[in-house]
Amino acid sequence: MVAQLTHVLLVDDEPAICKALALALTRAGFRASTALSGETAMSIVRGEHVDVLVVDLRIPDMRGDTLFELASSIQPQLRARTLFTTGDITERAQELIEACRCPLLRKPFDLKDLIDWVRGVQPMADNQSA
Amino acid sequence: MWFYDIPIRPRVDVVAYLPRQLQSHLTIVLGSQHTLITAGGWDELRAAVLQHVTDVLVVDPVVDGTPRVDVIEEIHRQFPSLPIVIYTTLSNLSMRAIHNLGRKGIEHVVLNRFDDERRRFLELLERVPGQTLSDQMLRSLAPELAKLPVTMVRAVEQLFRSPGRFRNAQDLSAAAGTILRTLYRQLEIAGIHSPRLLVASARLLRAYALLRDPGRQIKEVAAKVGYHSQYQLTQHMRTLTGHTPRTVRTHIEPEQFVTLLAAGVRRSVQSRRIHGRSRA
Repeated sequence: MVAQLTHVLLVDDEPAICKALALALTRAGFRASTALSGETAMSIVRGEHVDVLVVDLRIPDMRGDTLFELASSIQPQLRARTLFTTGDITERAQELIEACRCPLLRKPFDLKDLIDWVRGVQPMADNQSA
Repeated sequence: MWFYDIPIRPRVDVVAYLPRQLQSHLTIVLGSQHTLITAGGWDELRAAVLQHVTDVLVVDPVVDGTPRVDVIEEIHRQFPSLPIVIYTTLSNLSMRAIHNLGRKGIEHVVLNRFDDERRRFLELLERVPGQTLSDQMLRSLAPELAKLPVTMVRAVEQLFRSPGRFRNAQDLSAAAGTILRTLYRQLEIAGIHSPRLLVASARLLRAYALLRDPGRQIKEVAAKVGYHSQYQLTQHMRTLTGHTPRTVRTHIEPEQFVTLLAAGVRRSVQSRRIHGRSRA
């Protein structure tokens, strides 16, 4: 039986950031999908299993926390496996993150931090799949 | 004024400052068809951009191990029409640089051994010059393009995105996969005067982007986009937009220029229709 790779969905409106993060995750042994908008992200969430969600708080068509709520209502495992990223942390953003109880990585962040975090939630994903 | 065919070499002039390995790959990507000027340091890079009318700057912000986002930002400020492509190897340092440059609007990124495959990379390098303006122009011509067959729309899109690849109306008809006569007829039905005018407008759009950079001479811009002389550029610019290159450079904002150019492409049809009615 072929082991399935952990599927990470990256949501960021900057194509270059998406591309770079996807490359880093792929090289670290994950399967990465990218979405430049909340709508695209939702279509992926509706269509396939996502193990981990990495969302920029500011995406053009939807707030990151709204996407988190919508995505985790379809795939509840994402409630504990979502990571927010942001370039500028405002008080409001901090409140949203606390309300969602999700961790946050401030941009620009080290790729290792992202990979370590995804690896940290991977055993949970594996257990759930099993 | 005749818009006769001007032999343009489909050539992209690239200035680059990259690590040896990436530079070698870029040399292969560009082949002998395009020009590559390489810099050996940040000062040389600044000088090269100043001295040459360049189509694209390809740079690794961490070429010497220290991120130099500041130099790239400075070049971007001085030459806003010059597209900058970040070509780098993914690392924490380069990731930070990509993030910081993205915030300044420098968004074209090619990653070593990920998306630097020859054909794809070359397509990007040929497409990026004047991309924003070409997108505006295509939006402006959307009502006319909507009346064309899909293959012709794709050809017109290609024309505005890579004007250097189209020397004349024949090149446009070849890209559309049709004969010249059919192309003329379809464009006329859509409300565009002629393929020749369309090819000329794509060239003028590129000229306008270069004219917007302070410090570039009109003569240099004319030569760059394939005109034999500044006079010829002036004639074409006047005919299609009603203004001289000097005026468009200093007084015409990009949106206005695109509107004028799109109107110029349609104008002859309108006047002919009026003429037709009067004859009728």
